[in-house]
Amino acid sequence: MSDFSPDQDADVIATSVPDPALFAALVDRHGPMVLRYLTRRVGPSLAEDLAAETFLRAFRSRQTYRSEHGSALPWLYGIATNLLRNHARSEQRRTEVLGRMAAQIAFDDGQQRVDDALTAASTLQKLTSTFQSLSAAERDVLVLVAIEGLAYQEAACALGVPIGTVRSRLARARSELRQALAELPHPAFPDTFTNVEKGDLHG
Amino acid sequence: MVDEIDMLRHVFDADPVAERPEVVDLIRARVLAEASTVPPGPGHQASTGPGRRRLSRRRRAIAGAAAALCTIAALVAAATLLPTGGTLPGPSPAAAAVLSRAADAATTTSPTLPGPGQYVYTATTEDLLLNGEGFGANSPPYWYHETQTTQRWTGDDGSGRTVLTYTPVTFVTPADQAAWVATGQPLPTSVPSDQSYGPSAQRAADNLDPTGLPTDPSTLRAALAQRYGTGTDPALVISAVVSLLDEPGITPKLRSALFDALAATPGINSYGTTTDALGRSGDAVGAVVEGIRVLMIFDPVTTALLGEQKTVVDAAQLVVPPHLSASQVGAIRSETAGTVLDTETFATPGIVSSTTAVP
Repeated sequence: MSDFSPDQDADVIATSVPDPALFAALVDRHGPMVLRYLTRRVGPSLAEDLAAETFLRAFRSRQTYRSEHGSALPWLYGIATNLLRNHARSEQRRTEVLGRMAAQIAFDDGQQRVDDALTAASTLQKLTSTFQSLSAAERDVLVLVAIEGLAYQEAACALGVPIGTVRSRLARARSELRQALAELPHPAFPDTFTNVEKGDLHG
Repeated sequence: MVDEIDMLRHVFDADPVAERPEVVDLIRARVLAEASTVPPGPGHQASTGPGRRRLSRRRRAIAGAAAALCTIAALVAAATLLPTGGTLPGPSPAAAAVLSRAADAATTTSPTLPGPGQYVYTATTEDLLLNGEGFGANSPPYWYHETQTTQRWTGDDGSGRTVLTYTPVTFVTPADQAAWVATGQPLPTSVPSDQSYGPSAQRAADNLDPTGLPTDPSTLRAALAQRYGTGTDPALVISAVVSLLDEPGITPKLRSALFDALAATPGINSYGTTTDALGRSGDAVGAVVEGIRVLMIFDPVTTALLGEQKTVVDAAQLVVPPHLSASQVGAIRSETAGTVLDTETFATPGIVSSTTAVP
């Protein structure tokens, strides 16, 4: 999450109501994170447009921002996520590209044992296709929490759902991924992934 | 032990996202460009203030319904239409009959599909009643109308053009105009736009995407709830159905299922035959949620969408967001039954040969 304090965000937004140009400071603070999030989900080209639209919508809604919700980043993630709803095909294509790239990396890294490399590649392809088959709501939670690192409360704020819903969607999504991987002939996770940096999901 | 989350991170890290400060600079420039259209000093709340609270922009409201619960309280589109609890009555038999007939009729309709090099042209006009307010005790709220016209050209490959235009605002009474003048005559922030997009862009962000929706009515209702956040709110279901019926390419089967899904939605009533803002006659179905009646008007023979209308029926039931000023709350509470908040009309789609032509 952002290093900027919630108070700073609230101040920027409040002062931008009478002085609109000050809102640009929020772009400087959170633009890189919003752009990164959207790039991960739909690729760099479309992400540029959606990131701009995210901030324009935030700007138009700035008078209604409620400072008690803390950092503005979850609010921006929420707007961005809503914009993604109508770009399912772009997101699907992006995920397919990522899946192929990840499989290739796994294959390249596993050259010492060809079996392991093939297992890694097929496992990643299965993971990717299962991720695509999740509902949009489940994918949103999964990416916001597991990839973007939002806390459960922040994801709940971004998505406008209770924190319990975030937990249940995340649990359901993980369960579907695990179940799909378990159906593989060689369900064990390849050694190739042991170098992946682990991070805890936090609530 | 590596788990599925670690593997998912591996996938997303396969193509590391580079910092792109030049893009952030461009976004910053766009925000500043829009900011330059808003006069500094005593602000106004026309664009996103309380007047926008009632599903003011239908698609935007549907898309933002969930997020509104978080921070965008004044997009009270969502807040206004969230059920307060209790059990909604089932769909009225009359509404179910009207909608079932429409579902049957829809199966024989032909979608308006463009051929190679052609475009489907659609046009929607939305007249909104909005209020704005300056800052300070001496800046009373003022009410005005703003009309937005959305023209869309959609090609067979998904490319197209969307043009948004706005008419000059008109004030409800001379007193409203005087209040606006006293506030400093803030300009509405609605900015006209003209966007062309290629096949990969698919559609404007505000449009609902019908891709992959099921055609079984009960499954479709669940899909609407999940994809568009309608929940069980009949007003939000109506608005989602209206948005989808406005998509010229939807199949007769999906069109039929949308009417059937609405027929099975608790809280939907029939309002008989009525006329839309253009004087076209059609069947009306709707729901009353928290003091506002949302009506969908359609041609019972062709099932063409004619209009959508939101009207205050009980001001005491209107939901007022907690952050509004006392004078804004007073303005909302002063609304009377019969006040039309939002009227939307849909032109009959047509096929044209370019993104500048109209039928």
